[in-house]
Amino acid sequence: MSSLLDFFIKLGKLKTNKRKGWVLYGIKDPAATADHIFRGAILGWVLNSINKNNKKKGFNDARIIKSILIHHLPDIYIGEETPYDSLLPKDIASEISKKDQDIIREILKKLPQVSAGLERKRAIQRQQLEEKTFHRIVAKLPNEIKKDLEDLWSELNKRRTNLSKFAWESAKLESYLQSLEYWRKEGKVQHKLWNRWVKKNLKESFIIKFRKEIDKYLINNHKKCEKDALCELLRFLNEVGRLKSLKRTGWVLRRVKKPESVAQHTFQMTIMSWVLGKIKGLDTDRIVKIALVHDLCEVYAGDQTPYDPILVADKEVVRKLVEKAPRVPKAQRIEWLFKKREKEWKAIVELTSNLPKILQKEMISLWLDCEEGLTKEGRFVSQVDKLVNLFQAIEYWKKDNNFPIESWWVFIKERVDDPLLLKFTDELDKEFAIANRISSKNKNKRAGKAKSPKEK
Amino acid sequence: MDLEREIYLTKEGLRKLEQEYEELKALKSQRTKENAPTTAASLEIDSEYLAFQDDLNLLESRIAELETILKNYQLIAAPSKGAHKEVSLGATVVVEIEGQEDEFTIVGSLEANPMLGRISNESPVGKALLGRKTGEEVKVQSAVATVYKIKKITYQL
Repeated sequence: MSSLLDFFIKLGKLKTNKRKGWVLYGIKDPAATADHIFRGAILGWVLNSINKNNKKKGFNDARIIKSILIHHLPDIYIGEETPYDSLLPKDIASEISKKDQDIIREILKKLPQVSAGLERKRAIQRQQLEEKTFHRIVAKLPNEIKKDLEDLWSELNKRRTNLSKFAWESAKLESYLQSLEYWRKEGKVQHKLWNRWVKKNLKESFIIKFRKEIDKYLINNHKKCEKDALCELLRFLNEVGRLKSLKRTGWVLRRVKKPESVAQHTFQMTIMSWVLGKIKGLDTDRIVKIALVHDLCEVYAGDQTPYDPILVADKEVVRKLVEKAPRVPKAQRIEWLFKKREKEWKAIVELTSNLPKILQKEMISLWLDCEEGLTKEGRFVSQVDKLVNLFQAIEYWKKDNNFPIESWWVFIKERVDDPLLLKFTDELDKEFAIANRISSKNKNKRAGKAKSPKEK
Repeated sequence: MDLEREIYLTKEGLRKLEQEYEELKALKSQRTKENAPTTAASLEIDSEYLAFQDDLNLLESRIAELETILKNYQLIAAPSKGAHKEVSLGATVVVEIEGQEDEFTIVGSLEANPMLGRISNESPVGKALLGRKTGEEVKVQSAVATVYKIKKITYQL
């Protein structure tokens, strides 16, 4: 269990790593790697599904999702790479100084002039480094899941199969879509260079078709969507993209600085559900899909919490309120729950309404499975969702011991009953107890040091 | 279905699952006769139904799961009068937690829905409450320990 815990903590880095390209452009609150992976996985899945529907053949959706979920894992240790890296000032921080920003802006105006030979050499070096790093990250995981991850990675890193090419290009297309969204919103992105890059590097015919659709609406300002599946997909992805900047309410109420987004939470939860589900012997293809859609309704319904029925405007009262688990009278709680469900149901139906019917039904069914526990996979993912919240709360508590963590512990002991997840909770318990002891010791030391001059 | 775990159902829970089983069997029979619509005409239909409309594999695996449940379940019955004073499966327990009151009904894993006040007998809190009596304080151990003071036990089965 401790190797799993370590792996899940490492995943958290992809939620805080802001994507290098957007940082260089000076984008305000740019997407993190995990945000990109989340929408990339949805893009790959939905695009493949539409392609399958048209051609009556295609790839396994879940394998595409899984490939995209792991494609940035090496960045946990080695960070992201951009074609501009060798030209940039050294030691760029996540927030760039005004002086560096001017230099960078000039560099970003054109694609780096590198010979084809050098470009290839660098790509191979990066590939080798990623390969080595990937194996380091998964080395201590239980064999059954380690093998799955390594098999997927070996296909993906060298793009050995058509499926891995499709997955890789889907992920790149997500970055391209994001670049155009930023360009339209803030104007800072060199969208023409991005356009040149995708034209040169994306070669899968259906990916190219969708890229052209993106260009039509986001570059050429074509306004009317002619009930075309790809145009509707673009609209859907634009809406899903909102989850990258929707901060989770539970953390906002507890005044966490820079809280995770719904997209980042979903990314981490999907991988955790997959890994733990594999150990439990469940259908992980279904699991990754359920986890990916479980919060999609929040695009329109927002992130509601059990505190909602008792929230008040006074921030100080709220601060006290969230220190404890919410104990709302049963009748009031049930009324709130039904309203919440209705709002979320309408939201998921509306969000998916213009996707091909077969896809809409699949997404709604998966969402319902998580809500209602219709299959063992749905029941499992729903409990992992609760565990991931405790897991994240501990991470925030480690950064700031004033973070009110109590309610998460109380919740988990009331809401989780899966034996494997309870075992994992025990591991968290141990780790938290150790961190708590260290933190108390440090507090005592600091208090002792503060006293000593006076005592002298 | 995890057969290593006991399957406990309330009378109401059993009725719902039996009804679902009959509906899904009818749906499967329609689907295999190929005269059922492949997609629902409207989304305003029973949500549980929707999940199985287009996916025959899922439909079959849910039917198989329900068959396992209906073959192996144990019905939660109210305990004898003498045992009413202690918490067993099916009990509704009013507890006080750090000055706040809450109410839980202890059910089997399949019927658990903590947001609706139904907690699983296999959850740490469910387990800790079982066998305890009114007035007792139950400590649920973890890095952050919580004390549940039992104020009232009733059975509404």
